[in-house]
Amino acid sequence: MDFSWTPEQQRYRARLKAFLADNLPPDWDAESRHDPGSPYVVEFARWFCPALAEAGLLVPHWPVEDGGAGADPWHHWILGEEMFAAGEPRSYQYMNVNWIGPAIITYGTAEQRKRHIPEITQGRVFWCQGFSEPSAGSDLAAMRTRAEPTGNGWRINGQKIWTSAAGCADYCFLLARTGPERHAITVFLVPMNTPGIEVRPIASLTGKNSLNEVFFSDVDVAGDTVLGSVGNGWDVVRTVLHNERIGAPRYMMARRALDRAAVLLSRDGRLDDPEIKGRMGLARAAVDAAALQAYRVIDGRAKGREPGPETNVARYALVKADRTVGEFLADCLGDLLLSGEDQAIVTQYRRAASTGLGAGAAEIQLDLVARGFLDLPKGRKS
Amino acid sequence: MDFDLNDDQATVLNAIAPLLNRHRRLPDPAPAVSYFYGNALEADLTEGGWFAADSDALGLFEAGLLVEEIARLPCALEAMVSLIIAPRIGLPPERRPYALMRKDRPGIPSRYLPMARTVIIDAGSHVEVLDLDGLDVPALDGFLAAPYGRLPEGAMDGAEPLGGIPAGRLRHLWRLGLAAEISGAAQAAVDLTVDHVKQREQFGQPIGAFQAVQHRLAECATLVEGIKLMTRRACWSDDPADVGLAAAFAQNALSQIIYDTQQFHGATGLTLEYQLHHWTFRLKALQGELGGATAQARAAADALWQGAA
Repeated sequence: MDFSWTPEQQRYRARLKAFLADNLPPDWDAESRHDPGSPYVVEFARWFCPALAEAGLLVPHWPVEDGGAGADPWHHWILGEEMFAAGEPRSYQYMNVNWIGPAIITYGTAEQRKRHIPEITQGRVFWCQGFSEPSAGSDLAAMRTRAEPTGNGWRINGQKIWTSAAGCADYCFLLARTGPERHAITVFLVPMNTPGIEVRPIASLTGKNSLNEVFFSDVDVAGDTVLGSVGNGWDVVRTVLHNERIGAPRYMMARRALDRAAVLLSRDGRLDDPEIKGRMGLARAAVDAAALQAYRVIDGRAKGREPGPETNVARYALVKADRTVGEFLADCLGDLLLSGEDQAIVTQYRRAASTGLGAGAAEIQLDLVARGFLDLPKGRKS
Repeated sequence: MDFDLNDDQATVLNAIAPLLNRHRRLPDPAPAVSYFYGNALEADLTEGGWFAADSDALGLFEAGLLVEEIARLPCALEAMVSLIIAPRIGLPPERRPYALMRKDRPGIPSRYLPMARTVIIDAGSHVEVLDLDGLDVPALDGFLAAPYGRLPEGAMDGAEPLGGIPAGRLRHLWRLGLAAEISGAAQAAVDLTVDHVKQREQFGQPIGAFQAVQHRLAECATLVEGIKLMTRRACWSDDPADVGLAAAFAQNALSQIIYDTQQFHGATGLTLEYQLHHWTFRLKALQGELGGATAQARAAADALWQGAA
């Protein structure tokens, strides 16, 4: 085992930090509020992502033939760490980089790759994820949105919900039912300007425009919007979910919030309070436990191994870490949360509310750990 | 980073595996005792030269791996101090077994004191060493799965200072050893429990098929994985923050791991004939050692944020 970063990885991280220092405006924290769906961050990302792409820092881990630099998965992860710690100036384009682009590269036709991949690698496009529905959350295969063949394409009807980025997205990575069987699901790459699509924002605790409903009413799409083959959407989703669960290094904001807390507590003369110091140390321990489990997943990716149940273990550790840090902030820095003066602390506290919901509920992760990691038996359904 | 053992690290584990395999089970029938001191294991380890390896031959990472593996066995044995601490503060294997104590708390029972030949003492700023040769320390009648003894009054007065070793270094290594011991014993307790819930049937199915059981064991497994990775990073880096965080995380996780593994065994887990307590009640002993989780967390916080402003 080896827990060090290579000199090359360290130089890469330094380069990312320097890029952020040079390109984020001085009032970034206050203006962005680290809210990837806010109009400010979305607009900023329309400038920032092309600049990242220009510097070769948007998709360095992608294959050379797809516009990347063929760097290993660690470069992807370090990129994610630095962006997340900075409050995610890529806005929702991070999804393109983490899993939408890779899914299109893996399953797309030459034509689909030609159409979508350059837009992503140039940082010029927003995608949203059309997975969850009002009656299909954790039980994703219960989805009702359906696509019916029209002869030369498909007609889509249904509704998606909790869709981040829907308001600014150019395309939707949409799952729809194409047959009566439970897993007869197909992925469609749907332009969001297609007639019949309506986006309604849902006011939420997690940020502006971070959650939306998307309605599909007689939305006609061409046959070449199907990703992979008709009915194989479930295979695509399984790949996607593994990349999504350990996709955003959320622990970086938690670590940053604790570092900020140390500074603020020190100024107040409270850092030496044994109770506070102990709680802070335990919170950081939970964060590092989550980080190390994520690193183990990345190590597997770098070695070309199939993703396994360690991904679910790592995701659950992430949930626990965000919760532990959130509780510490509420207990020991409640006054700062009320005043909202420090963005890193407020962001961490706010985000912790959704860590156990995004990318599969925490309880689903525990199911998968129990069955996949511990090999516990499947029970009778009651 | 690389999360697989490298050849040198794997070689150490492979070399000791046959020896440890001889001690994976207690004698049959299992003695109904609160702890079983591993005299036979100790003899095998001594004969195999494992305690004689100096810190150049057995690096801290490999020493941590060995302590973890030894802690997975049901018997209690003083190996942590001998493998992790003693070689790094210049104490030879001839003076083992060791016990650890604090100068300001001479009357507090100490783990492995009844077997110990030497006591290593945290004297606040420096380290002292007490030779117990000829002193009989009886084992206390307790319920924890490790022998505890109490020094006779005034016995600590005979301790000699150990030059050149600050007490902070001793506490640092002690933390690291604790994390490694917890890592191995917690893994064993969860493994045994997972096996048990797959076998034990109630309401017509294995109790491990119930979601109430599955989720809690999945949480325990997540904690154990965290303990292991944190401990291995700490052994690898020898960094005060990493070491404090590993020990804090490990001790803090124990309330859940001990409770759930004990709970899912039902009353079987309360019997001395069954093995579970050899790990869970050893973990109870480790849970509060050196001040418990918050003390280690404070040490980590000092290393991380002292001077924050």
